[in-house]
Order: sequence, then C-alpha cells, then structure tokens
Amino acid sequence: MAGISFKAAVLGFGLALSLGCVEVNRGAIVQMNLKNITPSADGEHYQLFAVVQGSSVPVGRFKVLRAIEDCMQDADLVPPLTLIQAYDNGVSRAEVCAQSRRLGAVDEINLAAGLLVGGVRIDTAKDLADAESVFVSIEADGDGDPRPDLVVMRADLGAGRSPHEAIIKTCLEDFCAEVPDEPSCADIPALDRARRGVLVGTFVRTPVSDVCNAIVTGDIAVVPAVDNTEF
Amino acid sequence: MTRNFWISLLQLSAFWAVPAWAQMEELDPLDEPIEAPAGAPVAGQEADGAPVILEEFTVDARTVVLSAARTRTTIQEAPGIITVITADEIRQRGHRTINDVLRTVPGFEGSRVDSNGWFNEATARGQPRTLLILINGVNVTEPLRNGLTMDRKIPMASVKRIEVTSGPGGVLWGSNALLGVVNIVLEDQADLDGFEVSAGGGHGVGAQEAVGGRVAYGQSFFDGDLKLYIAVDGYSDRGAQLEVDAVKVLGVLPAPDLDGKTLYEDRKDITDFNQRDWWLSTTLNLQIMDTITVDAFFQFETDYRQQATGGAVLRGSDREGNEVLTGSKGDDSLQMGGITWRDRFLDDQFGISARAYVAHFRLDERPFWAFPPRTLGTVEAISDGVVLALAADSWRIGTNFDADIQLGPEHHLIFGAELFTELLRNSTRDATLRRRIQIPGLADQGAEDTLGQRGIYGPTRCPPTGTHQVAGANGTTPVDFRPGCDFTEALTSDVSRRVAALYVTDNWKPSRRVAVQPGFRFQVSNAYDPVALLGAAFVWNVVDRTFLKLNYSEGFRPPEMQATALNEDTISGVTYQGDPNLDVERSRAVEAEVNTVLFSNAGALKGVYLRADYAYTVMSDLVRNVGGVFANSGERGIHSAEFLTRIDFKGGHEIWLGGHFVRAEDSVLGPVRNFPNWVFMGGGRTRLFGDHLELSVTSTLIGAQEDLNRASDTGERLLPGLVAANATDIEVDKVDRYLLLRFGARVLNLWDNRLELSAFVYNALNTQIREPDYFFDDRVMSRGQPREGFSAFGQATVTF
Repeated sequence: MAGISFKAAVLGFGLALSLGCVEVNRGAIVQMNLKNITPSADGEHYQLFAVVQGSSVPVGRFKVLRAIEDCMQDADLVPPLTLIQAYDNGVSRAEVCAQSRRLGAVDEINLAAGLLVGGVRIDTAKDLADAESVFVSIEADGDGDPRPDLVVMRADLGAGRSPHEAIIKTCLEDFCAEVPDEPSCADIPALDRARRGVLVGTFVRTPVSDVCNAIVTGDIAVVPAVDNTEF
Repeated sequence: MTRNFWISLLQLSAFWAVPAWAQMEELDPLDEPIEAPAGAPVAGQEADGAPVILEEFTVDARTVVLSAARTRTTIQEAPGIITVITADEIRQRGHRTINDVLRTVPGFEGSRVDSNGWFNEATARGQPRTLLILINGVNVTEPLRNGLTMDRKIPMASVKRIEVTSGPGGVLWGSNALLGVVNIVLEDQADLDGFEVSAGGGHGVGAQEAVGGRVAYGQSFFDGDLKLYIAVDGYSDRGAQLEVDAVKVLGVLPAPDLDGKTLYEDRKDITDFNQRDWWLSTTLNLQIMDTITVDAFFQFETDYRQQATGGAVLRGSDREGNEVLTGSKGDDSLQMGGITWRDRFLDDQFGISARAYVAHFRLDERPFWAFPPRTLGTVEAISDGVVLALAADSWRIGTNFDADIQLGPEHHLIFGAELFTELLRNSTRDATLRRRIQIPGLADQGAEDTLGQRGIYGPTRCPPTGTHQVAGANGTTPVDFRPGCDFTEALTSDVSRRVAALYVTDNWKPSRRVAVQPGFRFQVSNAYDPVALLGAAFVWNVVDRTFLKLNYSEGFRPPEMQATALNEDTISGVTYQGDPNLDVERSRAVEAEVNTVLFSNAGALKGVYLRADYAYTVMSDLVRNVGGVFANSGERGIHSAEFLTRIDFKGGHEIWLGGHFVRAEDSVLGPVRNFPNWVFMGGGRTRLFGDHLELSVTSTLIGAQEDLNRASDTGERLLPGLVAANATDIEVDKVDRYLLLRFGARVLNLWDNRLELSAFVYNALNTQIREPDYFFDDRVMSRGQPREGFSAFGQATVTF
C-alpha cells in the first residue's frame, strides 16, 4: 500500500512540476529624455524601434501632445507641458490623452519658471539585451505596416555609456587642437562613469551630415531583463 | 552534469530507499491527542512524561506545531514545511522582533523596508506581502495594505512560540496565506506562575539610548479553574543613525504622475534624529475551566522616521539641540482580542473550537514628510516641504468554528467554517482617510518671485484660493484650496468586505507509515469572485525517524483595500487608480521535503535534525500597477530550496545551520532581482560553569541583490553640489552580500533560578547596508535605503 502510494505520489508530483510553469518574459525597461521633439501633427504618431542583431524591432508608439492645447487640460492646474502619451491604432484623441496612457513628458528644466519635469518610461516585452541602436520614426495613424516610415532621430547604444559622448569629446579635442585659445577648451570634461546594467545612447536628429554638430534630441537608457546578481 | 554526479545521486537514493523497503515494521498508531507541552520544556531537554507519538523523536516545544494542520501534530509529519521557534529560543538568540526571528528561518527574509522605513515587513520565497500573520490564530495582516510592520510592535518576551509555515496555506487558513503562515502564540499562565519583571538598556548607532522593560503576572485560582496571565511590555529608543549616500531633495513619488527629475545634493549625510520612539503593549490571557479562553493584545506606538518617505534626511534637532523639524511621526497601532470555547467529547474522539475575535489596525502618519523643507542656494525652494498626512482605521471582525473527529483508526477529519468582515473606515481624527498636500511655493499667486508662483516640484500648479471644480474620473469635484495651496481630499472610500468560508481536510492513514491528507476550501465574498482551493499531502515514514513529504498546496491573497477603494477623483496626483473589481491573487506550489532525526542520544550527541525541501511555486493574477491603474496582471514562477540542520548536544549545547536558494521569474518583468537569491543562517550556543553561563552567536549571510537606481552623480548640475538626475540616469546597482552577526551572553540560574542577566550585540560587525528601495514599487528608482548599524542591549529579569 505504501509502495503504491509512494509511486503514485512521486508520479503526481513530477506531473505537477511539469505543468503550469510560468512563461517568462525577457522584456526591458526603456527610459528616455526627449527634447527638441515636435508635437505630433494630426494623423501622425511617433514609433520607437530598436535594432537587434540587424533587425528593426518595434518597441512602442506614442504621441507628443501639448497638455493644454491638445489635451484640453485645465490651465489653472497644469503648466504648459508637452506630454508623451501611448498610442494604439484606432484610439481617439481623448483616449490618448488619458492619464492611464501617460508615458512621461518632454524635458523641461527651468528653475526660473519652476519647472523640473521630463522623462519617459516604456515597459516593453521585447528582449533588448542585444540592442545595438534605436531610432524614432513618424508614422501615419492607423498604419499597419510594421516597417519604419520617416526616421527623425536615432541613437547608438553602448554598455553603460553613450557612444555619442565619446564622439563629442573627440570632436572637442580635435577642435581644441586647432583652436587652443577657445575658452571652452580650458577644461574639457571627462566622460561620465559607465553605469552598470544599462545600455545608453544619445538621440540625434536625422539625417546626420556632421556628427560633431548633430542636434541632440534626448537620451535613452535600456535596462534589459538580464539577471546580473551574483548567485 | 558529470557521470559521477548521477552515480552519487543514485547512491543517495539507495541510501534512503533501501532501508525503507526493508524495515516496514508497524509503529503504534496515533491514538491520543497530545497534551500541551507542560511548562514549556526547555529546548533540548527531554520533556518528562510527555507522550512520544508516532514518528516523533522527542516531544518538545520545538517539534509540536499547531498551525500546520489546525490540530496538534509534529513538524516531521505535518503536511508542509514547518519551523517552530520557542520562547526559549527567542531568549537564547536575543530576538527583538518577529523580523529578527524570520531572519533565522529558511525561506524567509525578515526586516525588509519600503518607503524609507515606513514599512518593515518580511518576505517569503523572496516575495513581499505574501505572509499571513496570526496572533493566537487570528489574522492580523492589515487589510489596507496586506502587510504588517513587524518592528517592536509584538514584544518578544510575551511570545510563547512562533510556528512558521513555508508555502501556501490557503486551505486551512484562507486569506493572505499566499506563500507562508506565521502563527505567533502569545504566553499564557502555563508560562508564568507569579511575577516577572525585567528592565534593560542599551545604545549604538543602530538603536540609540534604548530602554525597555516589562511586568508580567501569571496565577492560577480556584484549583486551576481560573488562570490569569497579564503582561505589559515597553520599549523606547532614539532611532538609528543612518548614512545616506546622496541627499535627496525632491523626486518622484510612487504615483502614475509624470516620471520626473530627481534633485540630489551629491554628498553623504547621516540622520541624527533626536525624537524618542516608543512602543507599549499589553498581553492578556484568561482561561476559565480549561474550556474558555479570553485573550487580548493591545499595542500602541510612536515611531519617528529617520528618513522622509521620499528619501530626504530628517532631523529632529540641530547640533545645539534646537528643534528644527517635527519629524515624520507614525502612530500606527494594533489591537486584537477574542474569546474561545474549546472542548472534547466522545472519549476525546471529537473536538470543537469556536472563536469570536476582533482586530483593529490604526494607521496615523502625521506629519508625514514626502520631502522636508529645503533651501537651494539662496532660494527657499520648498519652504514648508511636501507633506502627506495619512490616517485610517481598518477592522477585521469574525468568528471561527473548527472541529476534528476521529473516524475509525484511519481517518482524522478536520473541518470548520469562518465568517468575518473587514472594514476600512474614517480615521478617528479626521473622520476619513485624508491626505493633505502642501506645496507652499505654489500658493502665492501675487508673489514677484516666479518660483513662488509655480513651485519647483511636479507639474501641479496651485490655483487661486477658493473653491475650484476639478475634473476627476467621475466628473468634476469641488475642491477648496486654502491659503498655502493646502487642500484636503479623501484617499479611499469606506469599504466593507464580508467573507464566509468552509474547509475540510482528512488525515487519512492507510497504513501505519503513510498519511495522505487531502483538503478543500471554499470561500465567498461580496468583494471578489468565489475562491476554491485544493491541497493534498503525502507523508511517508520512510524508515525509523525519516520522513518524506510530497505536498501540493494553494493559497490566495485578497486585493489590498488601497487597490480597490482609492479615490478616483484625487487631484494631488500622488496616487494610483483603484479598481473595485480586482480578483484575488493566487498561489499554488508543489513541495517535497525529506526530514530525519539521527544519532539520538549517541555519545555527546542528543540528536541531529535535518530537513531539505524543494518547491516550485506559481503566483498568478498578481495585482500591480499597469499604466497607473491597479490590475491583475501576469504570473511569477519561483524555484526555492531550503535546508535546516540542528545538532543538539547533551548539556544544552547547540549548533544550527540553515539556508535557502530562491529564483523568481516574472511573466512581465523577467527575472526578479531585488531580493537575494540565497540566504544562509546559522549559529550556536554553549553552556558553561554548570549551566550558569550561556554564550551564543547568531548569523545571517544575505546574498547579493540588485537595485534599480537613479545615479546621483551623472545628471545635470544645476547648482554647485546640486544634481538633477534624469530618467535616463538609471543604473542597476549591485547590493553586495552582507553578514549580520549577533553575539549574546546570558547568566542563568542565579538567586535560586529567579534572576537572569542577558546582553546581546546586534550587527556586531556594524555592517552598513543599503537595501533595494521601494521594494513594493519598482517604478520609483530612488537610492538604496540605509539600515541600522551596530547596537547593544542588556537586561535583567527577575521572577518571583
């Protein structure tokens, strides 16, 4: 009796172990700071793509909307922010403006005006651990084509530090070698320390003709779902 | 895997299996209910006259467990992964809190803080707020947040025993037994005959200028027909000095509000808060005719936070002793009481227990700084600070009916019902749960200074003083803006949750060595869909004192009331959106355990207890914030393995070692990284000089974990030393493994065994810890939260 029960129990236990395992997502947290980005025109939205192993992976779609003019918020309560709102095909303007679709706001640091806002967060189910770069395109509302349309900004990603920072430092060093008396050359800042566990990039407006003078439109940091905790 | 590994595994299997088949002699059946261990026998000593039951090696207070099966059984045969901590063990190891205890129990991690010290709770299998906390069998898990801060709230000197079950326990215990059950059994007259008085004090950066003491009285009257126990416990200190690695000035609060900048002063600071905290509690137990028990526990406290919940450093006075800030004060408290009738009939074959109880939880945080006043440069950026003031009362009122009946030699049926209601009501002070936001910089519309007109924090502007119609989820709401941009709003609505449940379980013994224990529970509520839970355990006495358990168990956690009843018309923006239709969160686990007792009374050894467990647990329908709204979303799979070894030597010496490995992966978030994958705990004690001196060591080694943070040194520099960290200044900090070490010495058996002296040193290495912040809200990427360093406490206890 005991033997039969034992075998049955072990069998049942093994069966139970094999059932109901959680399907684990290997997504990522994407944080952006956006500036110099134009509010979305009627019928258009932005889409963020990541380039992973040579392929473009759509990460998220959003509209850039002015809180008061586009989303009809109370000017007595809300300063004139530019909001980043999640967008899906078929969603109305009023729905896009809902608080539950808030991804963040365009950067606004103005101590004199009392504004200190910015930052966008997108949680994605896409595995971005091997992302090499990202870009943002303008897409037509309702566009079902997964391919990017008009790319307006892009960023190369580096582990812990934006590759663009090193490029800009080199540009400045080259410039200072030619114009050593330039005041800004007196103290060329060091690169920020590399940050652990993130991929970092600097958005520049496209097309880029001169990387040293490219217009910076924000930053991006990607936290992939990789467990670096030492076991 | 190497070939040798598999050969070793086969050898190990043979080691267990061969004696099992070869030695199937029958043992005496479990024929008598076990009496309570008389006089709380000293751990490690034989309990004279105590019945030896079935598979148990020694009946002592550490092996008998009540909560595992809702009747008396042993940890070896109970259907679950059980650890029992006795009052003796609490004294021997110098535990100060339930969290201290759980730091020594495999599968648990005691004392994890959230919101910079506002909550101080424990995790099970790495997961927060998954524990059912019981006091004398009554659920004292706060319904507002599904948790219970376990600081000094429960005085350890009044605890008789703590029974900890690792894994879901929903069939027997219902709500909140998601991943573990902690049943705290308070002392009664059996533990004290006469007076007990104790007093002590201590100091250290971890607990400054500490004092504590208790007075307890236990007496039996009318030939034992009336037994009284009453104890008053008190403790006070001036908090801890905590080192903050970067001084946070302003930042994001847990909210669906905009993810903004975080202002840091890029320097370290140390909290130096001089307000005195205190905790006071009364424990009462009255037994009448051995069948009726009246018990009560009343607890009150005032606990000043060292850090504001936003992360800024708080100070109670300047260096000259002048008060500069009335700190964030918490007057949280817990009171519970009940009456129980318990009797047995039919030659002890049938037993009944009926209980009525009430538990009250008070949340009162005022003022509760989000960010204290701060001057930036020459500008009073937040001259009066950002203040939250919270108050709430919640209640759980109910009855339990439990019964057990022996049906023939094979079946022992345990069944019961419960009926209770949970209420969230207005605070007694403000008549409702209120939150007041004051951003004075926003208030003065006439000020010349533009900072004064708009403030520096967040997008919210303050309209002119007066009543304004503010848009909310349910249309517009009139809000009265007072001078100073001060307004009041309800954070939650009043909620009533009524619950009824039935459960039944059978301890079926088809043979002397095998027990099969199926169980079922059905629970209904007006607030969530009906819940049906299944459980099944297979316990096999493999050989001698070796047991194999296979267990399937389920549990659930009702949605916390703050997730279902939030005021949707809030305008402060520092809140999520609730959902009254949230479903319960569920857990189901398959568990396997092998436990054994070796070397009983062999030479110097009194016995060796070993247990090893593995479990795979799935949590589903998790309630989390999705786009600012509470929602059931996703699953989490948890692999966990635990082990515990205790070696008892003759003469009262002991060595113990335990640990657990946990790996959790989430269907939405991927690997869960803000808790340690492994924790080891161990220690020992020795008795010297004829049992007059006892020395002990208790240690917990906590593995590395990760903390998503905003870097305080790579953001934009606004002023000298002032950094605005951007959303993208994010990094995954590694919290290195760390060791918490505790030494203790007790002088025993003085003055005719009436006097005991003890001294303990906590965090003896003064390990500086910064735990992952906002454990329950990974959206807020603040700096790690510093924890208490070294402290010492000495105490004298007299009984007479």
